[in-house]
Amino acid sequence: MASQLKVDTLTGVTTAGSILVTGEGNSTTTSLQQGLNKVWYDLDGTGTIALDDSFNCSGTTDNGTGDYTISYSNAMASANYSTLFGGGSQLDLGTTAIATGSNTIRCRQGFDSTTVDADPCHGAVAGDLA
Amino acid sequence: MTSQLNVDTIVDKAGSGGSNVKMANTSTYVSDGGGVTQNTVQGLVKAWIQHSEGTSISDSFNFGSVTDVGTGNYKPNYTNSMANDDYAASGMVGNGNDRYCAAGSMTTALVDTHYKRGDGNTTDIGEALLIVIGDLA
Repeated sequence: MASQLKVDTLTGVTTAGSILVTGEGNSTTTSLQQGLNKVWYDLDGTGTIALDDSFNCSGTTDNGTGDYTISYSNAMASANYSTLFGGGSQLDLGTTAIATGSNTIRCRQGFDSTTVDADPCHGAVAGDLA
Repeated sequence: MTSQLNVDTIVDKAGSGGSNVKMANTSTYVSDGGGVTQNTVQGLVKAWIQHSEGTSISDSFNFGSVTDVGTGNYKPNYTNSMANDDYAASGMVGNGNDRYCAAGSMTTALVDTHYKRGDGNTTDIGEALLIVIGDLA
């Protein structure tokens, strides 16, 4: 018989911020928290920039053409975390400044490195939340 | 009334692993640093795939098939659809230098991926590596 457990918050016993889940191969366990993306966004950088959808983002700043800062609702523990990007055709996305509360990205055309406004600009963050 | 469950390991009832455990989409977790709580389901990768040139899938999660549209243009199709077309996708090319992945049209059912060289010309690939994060339907 299937069972159902209803809770609002999952917390580790040994360490509050570390719950282990059994891996797909059933031979190892891994940290649930460490494996989660802490931020993701779908940013439209054209015109008045906007987050079409996002998670753990509190807002954006338009620093100029192809230069955007995405601010987080819940901050990261340090600036030592990983980001990944995706976008449209011939678009080269990268980060120019990483902080605990935000990430500044720059969008360039891949073929001549010209900075451009772009839609979509996709990003995600993996690392330690505060 | 809110409730809290303190556990170190989550497995299914049979104890064989975690693959059968279901989690509600309102579940939250205590952060790595212990300072905040965040939604668990929002943080999960919703689909990933490694596929070769053409439609052969090496391994994947929540991608059921790949449509080969033409040179350097593939449409991996989701098994479970996304909630809308506002989600994030990031792709890389394996076994191929000077190649990058770009997103074309994105729908709830698929992501249209284009692979090009730095000069903008469409190119074949060695392997396509794609991750999708966002809201499932």
